[in-house]
Amino acid sequence: MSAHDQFRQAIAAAGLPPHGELNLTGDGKLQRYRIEGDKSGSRNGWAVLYSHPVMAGAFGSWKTGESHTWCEQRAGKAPTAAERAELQRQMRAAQAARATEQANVQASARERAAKLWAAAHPATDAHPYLKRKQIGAYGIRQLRDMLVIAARDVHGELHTLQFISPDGSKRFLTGGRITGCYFAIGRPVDSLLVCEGLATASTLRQATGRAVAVAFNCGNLTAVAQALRGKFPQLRLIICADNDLQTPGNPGVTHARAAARAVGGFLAVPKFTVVPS
Amino acid sequence: MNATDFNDLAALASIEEVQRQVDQAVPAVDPPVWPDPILPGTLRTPDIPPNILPSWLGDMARAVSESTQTPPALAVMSALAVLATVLQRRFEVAPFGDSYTEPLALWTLSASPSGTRKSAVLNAMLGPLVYWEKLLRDRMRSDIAKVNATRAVAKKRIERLLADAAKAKEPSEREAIRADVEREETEMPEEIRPPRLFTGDTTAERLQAMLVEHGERMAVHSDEAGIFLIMAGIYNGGAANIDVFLQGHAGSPMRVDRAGRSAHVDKPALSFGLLIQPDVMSEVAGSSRFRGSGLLARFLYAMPASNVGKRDVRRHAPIPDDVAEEYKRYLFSLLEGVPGPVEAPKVLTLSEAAREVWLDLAEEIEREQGEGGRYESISDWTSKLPGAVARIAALLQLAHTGLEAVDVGHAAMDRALCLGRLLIPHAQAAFGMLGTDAVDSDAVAILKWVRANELSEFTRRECQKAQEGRFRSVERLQKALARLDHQDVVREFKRHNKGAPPTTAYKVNPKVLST
Repeated sequence: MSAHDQFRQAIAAAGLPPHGELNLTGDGKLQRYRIEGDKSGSRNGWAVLYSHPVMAGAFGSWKTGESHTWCEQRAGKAPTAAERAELQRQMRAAQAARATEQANVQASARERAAKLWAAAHPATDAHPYLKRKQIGAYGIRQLRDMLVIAARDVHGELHTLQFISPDGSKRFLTGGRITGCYFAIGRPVDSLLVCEGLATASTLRQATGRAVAVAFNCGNLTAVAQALRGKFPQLRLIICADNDLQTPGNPGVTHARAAARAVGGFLAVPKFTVVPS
Repeated sequence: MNATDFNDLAALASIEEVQRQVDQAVPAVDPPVWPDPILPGTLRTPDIPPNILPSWLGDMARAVSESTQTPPALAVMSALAVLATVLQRRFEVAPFGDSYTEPLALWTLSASPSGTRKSAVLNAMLGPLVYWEKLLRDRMRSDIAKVNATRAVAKKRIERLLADAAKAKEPSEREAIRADVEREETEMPEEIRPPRLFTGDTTAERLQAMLVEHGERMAVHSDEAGIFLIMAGIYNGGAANIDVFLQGHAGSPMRVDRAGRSAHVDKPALSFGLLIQPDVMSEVAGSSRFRGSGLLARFLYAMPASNVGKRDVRRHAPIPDDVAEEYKRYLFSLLEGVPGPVEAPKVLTLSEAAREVWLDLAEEIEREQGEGGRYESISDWTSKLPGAVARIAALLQLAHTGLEAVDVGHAAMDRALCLGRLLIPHAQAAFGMLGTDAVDSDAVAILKWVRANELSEFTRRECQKAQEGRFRSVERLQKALARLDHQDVVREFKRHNKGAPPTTAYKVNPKVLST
């Protein structure tokens, strides 16, 4: 099998096979492509390949945010020190190229987000998702049957949007930056709650009257908490965890605790005295 | 419904419950890391590895352990006792370089059930000393015979003179005979005895005599419990003379009266290397005098887990010749100059680095052996641990550098400290077996209650209420809970109550409930 085929095999094995042909020249230029299964016109996949000193490359998806590296397996001959140094240089170049491309993608996402947000109208409590969750429409919008939630950084800049369908399924605008971005409900007085999702945030707002920030997922809790701590050094930050008892490692509590520790904050974990069936 | 978040909580309980729980948000702390608990009433002792001893000694201990398929602790403790046997009385250690000194006598006691080859361990570790004694006995045979013959003739002459004196009619004749008797006694050579470094099972009185006869030092190495039971007062109706033991450990002057003559032992040095069955510990458990005498606190205990049932009966691993030879060679080199004149012991000081880390241990022990401390119930033993560690460090230094050592270095002290810390749970296990620990019994009762009710946490009040008959006083309950906390069975915390003072509560180590 040639090195090019090995690289394509690695891309496929990662679940990112191209729709159609992907021509990689090994010249170190980042190429974008449509991933198998993605809608027509999309180019969420990216790949970069180097041919010297050994075939090596990187690839990923803007949609999922994942990235992978790959290096040619040469039987019996380990790379020399010079080859290793060159490989490292190429990897750094690939990362720089990816970062540049990512910035472009994110800029593009910001533009789209702004347009979609402007086109959406304020949501009402009558939306099926809000009714099912028994929550209010605090500052969110609606576009057709989708709820639209703005994800902004601490400076208020809109970076991306989260869409919630009537059935509760959620997705983000492709390519938009999520890390450190949040959706804010209310203005903080002496404390600020941080949680994962919109339904939780609305409930917390309703129960406590305190300002709440939605981090969208547990992996983003620390980045959001740190961003908010930077903006509000004196505020009492309370991270309200999802208690993922059924999931190994309880990621909700684990990430929430890490976020609270990172900012010297407090931790609230829901305790269910009635065992949910 | 897979309820995970506060929105689910609102649906299942109420919005008010959400507010209540958020109000109880606590500062984020690291999740508690629960180590393995030490359950009260159980023996959980760490291994004592041979590599704690310097090369030639550790190699021999390892080889003996493997050859006999016994826990390494037995050979290690025996090795230390052998080292003490060889070096005691000739050396002592002055931790501060002043008049406070520790002699190098060591008392070791290892417990191992019947049929576990204790004798084989003992015989292997003592072999060179037995050989050394025989060598010197053979060398001195003709000298001994000559002196004995001279003494026998002199004694017979004195007998004869005394008989003549009885018949003498004149005072001048009696005076002449008296002068002859005095001259015979003065000129009679001192008895020469072949040197003995150690003895087996013996009595307190015989030990006293042996201290006088053998350069103010003696050791008892035995796999029989006789001497231990004598010390406990089990024999002699509890009337054992324990002074010889206490003074032999401390190096305090001793006066020995024998056969009408009085002997003064300036700095007695008495060591023990005992390997006994665990049942013996229970047998002496009833002797409050034994503990009160201070004898129990002087032993260094090893209570290794038995490996009976796990040994490979088909395996035969003899002690390698080179290891045994090196062991013998080093011991012989340490015996140079023995027997010699009874002089003041050579004093080893501690290097500055060694003293600093030794003082760290002393501080740690002091903190933990006070009221409510982890070692409160064995404080009589722990208070002697720093001294014992200093002794062990000096022995290890001499084993490493030979008789020319002048001070104890950091490396030797490091090994001794490591061993000292390993010995603490062994001592706890030993005292537990001796049934001397009322706090332990209370801790067992609390643990039983926790397990029976499968409690992951409880308040102090709940615990006391559930066992009102046992814990009439909070102090008694508090001591047992403190013990459980120190042994990582529970962890105390304050439960905050809105609008009310916080409650003292305890989280239970999940490992306790899962075993």
